[in-house]
Amino acid sequence: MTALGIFLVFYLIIGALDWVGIVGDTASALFDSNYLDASVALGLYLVRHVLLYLGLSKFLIDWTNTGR
Amino acid sequence: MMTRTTRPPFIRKKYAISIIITFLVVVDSYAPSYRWKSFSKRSSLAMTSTRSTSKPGTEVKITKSLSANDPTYIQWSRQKEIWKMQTAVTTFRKGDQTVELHAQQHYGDADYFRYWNSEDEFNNRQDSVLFELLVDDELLEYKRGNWCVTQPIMASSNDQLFAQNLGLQCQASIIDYTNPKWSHADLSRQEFAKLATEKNKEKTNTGSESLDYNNTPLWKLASPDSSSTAAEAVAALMVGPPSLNYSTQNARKRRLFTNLFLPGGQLAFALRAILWMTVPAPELSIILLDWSSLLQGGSNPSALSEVALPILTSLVKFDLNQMRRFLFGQVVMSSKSNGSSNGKDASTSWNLLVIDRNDHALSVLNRKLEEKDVNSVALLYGVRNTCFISSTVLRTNKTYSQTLFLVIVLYDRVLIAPIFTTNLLRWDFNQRRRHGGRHGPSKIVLLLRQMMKTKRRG
Repeated sequence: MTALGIFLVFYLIIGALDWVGIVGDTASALFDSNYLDASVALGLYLVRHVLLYLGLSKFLIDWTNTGR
Repeated sequence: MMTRTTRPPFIRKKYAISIIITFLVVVDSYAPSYRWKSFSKRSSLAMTSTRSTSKPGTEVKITKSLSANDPTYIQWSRQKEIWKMQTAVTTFRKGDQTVELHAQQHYGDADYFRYWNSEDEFNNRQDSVLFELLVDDELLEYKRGNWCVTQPIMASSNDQLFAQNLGLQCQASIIDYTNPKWSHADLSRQEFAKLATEKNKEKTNTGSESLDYNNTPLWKLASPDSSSTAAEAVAALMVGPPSLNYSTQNARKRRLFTNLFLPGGQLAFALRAILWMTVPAPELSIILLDWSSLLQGGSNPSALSEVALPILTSLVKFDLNQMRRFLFGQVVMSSKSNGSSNGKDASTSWNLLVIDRNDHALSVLNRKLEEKDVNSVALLYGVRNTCFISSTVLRTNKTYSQTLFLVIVLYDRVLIAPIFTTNLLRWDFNQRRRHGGRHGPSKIVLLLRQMMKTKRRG
């Protein structure tokens, strides 16, 4: 459980850094009127987090079982 | 000159908003769900248990309360740190006649499949064995009123590669289908492809299917519109977990803040859309939101997969092989109930893959039971099919007696610290070898030496 806790903390730290990074990058790109860079950065951010969501939702939660 | 940097205020606000939303979702999902809890009545049949073992492929009798409406034919089993995935053998009796229904999984440990090859444990107890297998017509021969496999068969190279990657074996590679007692009770590949063609033509009303029926996998023939990763990703982004079917009339209803007379579904969708971009690690918040609104997570913590913790533990240990086997097991377990069990909204692929094949198997089984001197028949079928076959057999007034469970996959005992340390040292050794070992003892080795010295002094 301790190892899992450490893993979760690392996961959240990486997630936080990723989010702060994307907010900063997008904001600076928008201030420079570089809309293409901003959209690409946002798109890639969404893709990686949707894939993470897919993995987690498929393998960690049994959506079909509501009354075990 | 050092300057002190402060975080922009809008970031702090977003953190606060996400924490408040998460808190509200959790509180809402827990508080009202107790009132909504339903207690379903099920007619269940009790079974007895006698012994257990950790060896794959051997029989395990367990205490189990099994419902005729919702039977369990595949399950996780855990004994301390050892996990097993098991399939059921259900026995039905009517007078002198016995029918054994063996649920089978197509990938497993070699010993799991060897059980069906053993004469003493299995074959000598049966007068006849019927099996599921989609094979070419050429491999089947009509003998004494039964279709039999005449030559040894092997799994396809793709299946073998898949099994090899998981450290498992294919069913077709191990089981000896040429045993003289064994008869084919399934559609042939050609019959299956023909049925798939007809059903797909009915479905599209065009007849202009571009599928190559000789080279396309059978599951793809049955469901040409099966989902891709891209489609699943879009569903995950817009709607919710892709394993739930949102297109049918019986789609799962969302419930969020409904005790405040708010439209739960729309609110949940709006929150999902906001959360994707406004919180760090949004997948965790959205999973929590979906779990709360779809499964009423507060009252149903068992909706968390049984092997969620072992999967994460394997990940933390860098034991990726073990993790892949667990993931495979979880996919198998979650797909057992993905089909339409009531048949009301059964899809074409479900009809073809399960119902049509079940009808065929049952007609062969009934014919076999009418033969003279046939008192014990074993029917070996895929896990998804067995629950439907079982309910049909039960309807013919056969008494239900016993369920044994066979072990499909045995997962290794795992201890976190030693394996983690070993992997770390292996990584360190590889790093040093890449640099030609020129940089003296590594930091990890120095740290370990320091720890050992301190321990000795202590």
